[in-house]
Parts: sequence; C-alpha cells; structure tokens
Amino acid sequence: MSQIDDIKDLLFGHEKKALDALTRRLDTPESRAADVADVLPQSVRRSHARDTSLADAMAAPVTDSIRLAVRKHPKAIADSLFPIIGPAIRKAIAEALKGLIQSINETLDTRLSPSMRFKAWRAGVPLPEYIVQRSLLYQVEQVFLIHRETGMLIRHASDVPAAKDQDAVSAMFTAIQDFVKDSFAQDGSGALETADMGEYTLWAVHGPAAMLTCLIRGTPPRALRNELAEILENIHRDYSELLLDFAGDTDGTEVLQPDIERCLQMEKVAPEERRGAGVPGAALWLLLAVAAVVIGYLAVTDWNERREMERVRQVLQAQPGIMPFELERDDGVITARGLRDPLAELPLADEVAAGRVRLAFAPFHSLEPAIVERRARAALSPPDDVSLSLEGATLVVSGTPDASFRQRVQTLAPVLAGVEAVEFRQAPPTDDDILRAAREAAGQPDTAQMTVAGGVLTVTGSAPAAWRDSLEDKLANVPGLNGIRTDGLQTLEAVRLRQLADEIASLPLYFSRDNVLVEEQAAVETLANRIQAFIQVALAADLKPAVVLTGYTDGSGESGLNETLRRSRATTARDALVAMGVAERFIAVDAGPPAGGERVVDLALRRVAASVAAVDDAGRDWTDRQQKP
Amino acid sequence: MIPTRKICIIGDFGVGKTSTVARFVHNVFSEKYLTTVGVKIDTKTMKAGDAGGDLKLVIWDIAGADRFSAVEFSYLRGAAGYLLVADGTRRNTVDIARRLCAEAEQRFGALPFVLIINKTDLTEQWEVPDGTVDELRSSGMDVFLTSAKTGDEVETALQALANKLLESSGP
Repeated sequence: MSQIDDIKDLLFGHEKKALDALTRRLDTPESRAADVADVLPQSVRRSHARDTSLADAMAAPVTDSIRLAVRKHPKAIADSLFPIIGPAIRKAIAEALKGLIQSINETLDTRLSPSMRFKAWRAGVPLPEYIVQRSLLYQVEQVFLIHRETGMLIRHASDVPAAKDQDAVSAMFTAIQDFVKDSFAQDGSGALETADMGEYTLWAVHGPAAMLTCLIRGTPPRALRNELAEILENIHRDYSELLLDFAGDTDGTEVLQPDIERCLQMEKVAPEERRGAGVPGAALWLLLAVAAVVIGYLAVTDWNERREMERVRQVLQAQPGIMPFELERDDGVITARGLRDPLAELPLADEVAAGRVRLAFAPFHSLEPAIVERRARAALSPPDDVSLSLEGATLVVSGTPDASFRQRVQTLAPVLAGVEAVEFRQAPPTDDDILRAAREAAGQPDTAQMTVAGGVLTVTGSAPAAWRDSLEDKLANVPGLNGIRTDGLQTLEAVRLRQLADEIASLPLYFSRDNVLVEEQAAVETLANRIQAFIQVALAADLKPAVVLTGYTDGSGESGLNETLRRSRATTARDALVAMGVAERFIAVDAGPPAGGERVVDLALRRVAASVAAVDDAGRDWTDRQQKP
Repeated sequence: MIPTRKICIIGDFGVGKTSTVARFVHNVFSEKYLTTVGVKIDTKTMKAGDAGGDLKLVIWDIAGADRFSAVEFSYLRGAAGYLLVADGTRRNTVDIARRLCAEAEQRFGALPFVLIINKTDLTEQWEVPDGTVDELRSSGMDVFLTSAKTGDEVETALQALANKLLESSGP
C-alpha cells in the first residue's frame, strides 16, 4: 500500500500537489473571487466589444443597485450628484430664460406691428389687452399621460370630444415615438418632442416613467413647455411608485387627474379671432380706413366751406340795402361782391375783422322801405314830436309839425329816391286831449267833475240843468270824443228843490181846537217864503210847481165834523199863505185822513202840512230822489 | 376606467396575423400603418378572469417576421403577453413561431402567450402534423387551430390569452 503510494508519489507527486492546490483554490471562495477579479475587467471589455449582451444583462441589476443605493444612502448619492446638479440646473434656467426671451420677442414683434394696432382698434379693446389675447392664441385640447414602457394610457383629459380610441392613440403614439427614435436617433437617445399638423401642434414631454403628450390648437409659446414639464415632474415626484408599478390597471390613477386637467387650463384661444385675421386683410382694412378718413375729411371740409358760404350769403341777403351778386372762396377767405346802399349797415363785422370775409360792394340807392325811411330821416331831420314812416311810396309825416318843417318836407321829400308822395297825418287825440278840449268847449261848473276814459266823457257832481242839457251840443266838435255819460250828475235845480221841499215839509202850521191858527205870524211867513222860493226855482227850470196843503185833526170830536174841520184848516192855511204873497193857483187843499187811535185831545195832531212837487214835461217829479233828474 | 393590457401579435410574414384579429377587434387605424410604421394598434374589450370583469386589450399588430429584427422587437417591450401566430399550410412558420417565442422570452422574460395555427379552412393544404400539435401542447403551450376566414376558434384563443394575462398579473 505504501509502496504503491510511494510509486504514485514518485510518478504523479508533482501533478497531485498541483491538483490539490487547484482543488483548494476552487473550494475556497476567496481565492476564486481573487481569480475572477483578475480576469473580470478583461472579460467585460471583451464581452462588451463583442456584443451588447453583457450590457443587457447588467442593465436591470445596475438599475436596481442604483435605486437601492439612492434609497439607502441618499446623502452619499446627493453628494456624488452635486457636481452635475449645478450644471443641470444652470442648463434648465437657461432653457427657461430662452423661452421667456422668445415670448418677449414675440410680444414685441406684435406690439410694433401697425396692423396689430388697427386690429385692436377694430376689436374695440385696449392694445395691451389685445396683444395679450393674440399672444395666447392656443388651446390645449387633449392631454395623454402615457406609460413609457408599455405605451399604455395612464390618464387622459380632453376639452373636446375625443374621436379615436385613446388607448389605441396612446399606443400608436408610443410606437411612432419608438419608430422615430429607433430610425433616426444615432445613439438611441432623445425623443420625439414636437409634431406639427396644420393648426395643431403635438407636444410630448418625456419623463423617466411617463410621457405627457398634449394636442394643442394654435401656436403655443415656448413657456408652455416649461409648464408642462413642471407638471410632469410633479407627477413623477409625487406618484413615482404608481408610475413604476403601472401595468394597465387604472384604479388608483384618479389622483393624477387634477394634474392632467391643469394642462387643459392653459390660456384659451378665441376662435373667431383666429380666422381671417391675417396681415393682408388687416392692411386692406387699414388702407380702406385711411381712405375713408381722407375722403371723410375732404367731404366734411367741403361741406363746412359750402355751409359757411351759404350762411354768409343768407346774412347778406337779409340785410336791407345790400345786394350780393357773387361769393367766391379763395384760400379760406370768402369774398362777396355786389351793391350796397351807403345807408345800409355793414354785416359780418367779426368775420371781416378776422379776415375770413371780404366785402367788395359798389354804392347804389336802395328802394327798400327801411333804407328809404332812413334816407328821409337823414335828409329831413324831423323834430322829436314828428315821426316819419313809409307806406308804399308815400312818406307819412305824423305828429304836429310846425310850418317850417312842413315846408321843408314838401320841398325835399319829393326828390328823395323811393318817395313819391307826402301825407301829413295827425296823431289821434289822447284822453287828456279830449278832456282839455271838452272843458274848453263846455266850461266846467265848480260843482261838477269831468273825466275821460277810452274817449268817453263822464260828468259827475252837480250842475245847472241847462248846462247839462247843452253839453251834447257844446261838445259835438271835440275830436276823439266817443260819448258822454251824465248818469252820476245831478242838476243844481233838483238839489235846490229837494232842499226846499224838505224845509217846507218840516214847517207845519198848528191850530187850536176850533179852527183858529195858533201859529205866530213869523212861522207862516217863513213857510210862505220857502214855498215862494220853491215855486220860483221850479218855474225857472220849466217845471210845473204844485203845493198841497193837508189838514189834520186829532181823535176827539165827531168824525164828520172832523173832516170838515181838516178841510177848513187847510183852507185857512191857504188863505194865510196867499195873504203872504203865494200865488193861489199853485195851491191845492186837501182833508187828511182821520186820526187813528183813541179819541183823545192831541194838540200836535191839529195841524196843516204843506208838501210840494215840481214836475217836468216827462212827468218826473224833481223832488223825488229816486228819479235823479 | 377599464384595466388595459398591451399584447402583441407576432408571427412570420403572411401567416394571417392581421386577418386573424381584424374581425374581432375595434379597428382604430388603417392597415397602411403596418407598412409605414411597422405596427398597427387595435383594441378589444372583453370579459376575462374568474371575476368576469372587463379587460381592454391594446393589440399591437407587428409587421411580418421577414422584417422582424431588433427594431421591431422593441415593440414588444412592456407587453403583458402576446399572440403567436403560425400558418398551418406552411410548416416552417411553426418553427419560426417557436424561434420568435424563444427570442421574446430571452429579451423580455417569460410572458403569457397562446399559439395560433391559422388557416384550418385550407384542410387540403394543411402541413402541420397532429403530432407536432400534440408535442407543442405537451410542452405547456396553449395551441389553437383557427381560421381567420371563418373566425373559428379565434375568439376562444383571445379569451384564453386574456385569462392568462389576468392570471399572471393576479395576486
């Protein structure tokens, strides 16, 4: 046994040692690891040089390793990333600024455009507001949040009804993305970000796990992409697990909807503004507007000039003594030519002073009444109480001209142009004139008053009847007198007769029981005087005087005796009066009525009373106050 | 919203991929996309799974395998499963299907799929032996013999795939 072992040892001892060493190395992980470490770099290099299978194999574990490392050692990773984060941020800021500058440039371009100003004016909005509207002529109509790996739709939002199957659209868009990327990207990096189709623009914003694809109508500004990128970044930040684990189950993805719909709330386009608002149209409109303004200006100017000419013509034609023949306008000045009477007033003083109107008139004699009157006044110089007027071709001289003026008128007037005849005309008398003339013609008793109103003379107070009766004749020639009223006038005779009648009535003659006059002689004489005076006044006034003596008795005595006694007493009184000189023919006696009451003695009732009357031809008793003769 | 799953239809040129699903899906885009972009998307909403809830399949129809390179394979990324299509009248298309299946698995891991062997209406020209089909089935594949022309078994195949999608993504 040992010999065989020895032989083996002699024959294969060396190989056995090597085999043992090899076995030990293979059994010991440390040594195997050291061996692999020795060849690994070279192996990797060779494998990578041959094909991508190693890279494919390494991709998943490397990704997982990085993810794990980020989770476990965030600070270390952050520190490692720090050097590249700075440039990345700077690049991002530069991109954002680029977008901003582009937006400002767009705005400035449009602001400087005259057509924009015109459009703003046409739209009736302030220019800045209009520029903002124009700068935001786009609308995000559809938004797709697409899972990057599967191409499946995670969420969708739309402002318009979506015609196609959105899942299919998402998948197709992803396929096209891949197609473009695989076909044209040299190193497989980059992605399709923009596609333009007519008025639509398709924008894709790419994130690690999802892609935000927006269908936009109009031309979106660069800044919108930054906003979309921000939304997508937020989604990745807040819902990374959801995106990574997405396998087609949309349950739970509702939380993403607000972010997606935020994309739709980007500024909206005003559709009617987008149509037919091209620059050529605007230029045409502007041209038309300018033409309209120019034509309008010329028309208005011409119309104003014509209106001014017409106004000047009317003013001149309305002016007496001026005959305008032609008006012409040159360099803003209206020149009027024609004839002007030297007595005509010059109109348009302000316009002439300002140099806007020039008057070039030849002198002539106008026969217009106003000018003829003016000419007559200038030639005749009438005194203040004389007025001149023209009726047809007749010069009427009113007032009370003196003889020398009459002479002058009769000499000069017929030679004045426009005057063919002269007429002197009195002015109608005034009420004062009439009153003066009436007093002059009729005289005025001190007891009477005279007034004239409206040509009617009214006489009041009292006056002799003869004066009153002669008034109409005396005033017949008073000019302007339209009537005489004497209703309020009393005759002096009537006044006197009433006065005497009153006195007579107050002077009874008393008797004793028998038929004896108990009055003293003086009382009878007084009564007789009054009656005689009455009779004289009445006769002087052509009146018929009458005296009635009435006898009275008291209640005592027989009634038959008393009546005799009453008549007897009246007769006794008449006789006494006749004895005093009163003409008997005017006296009548009468027995008064029997005294009423008791049959007692009353001396005051034993009397004779006298009453008088004066009657004219018309039968009026002048002592009767009611009749007021 | 209804849960959605991305599936792809892959198979050799002319096996009837587009025709197979055409009458069962909601056609959103025209077929010219296949020749321009190399892919065409359709959708189909159906009941699936034990609960019988709605499921929306977003079906990526990828252009034929004669152009099927790394570029087109990228369309398979993110797919929850796929429909593998072969032509029963061309035996080699089954082999191509196998190869494609293997490549997909290599690139994206084991994904649920069903194999469709199409054109059963052309019985006279049928080239795939029953043994092959049995062999495929015994290897764990779900194999359906379909006719795009008559629609035979197509719906069943899609339903089976939908159920598998939910199984694989279920808890």
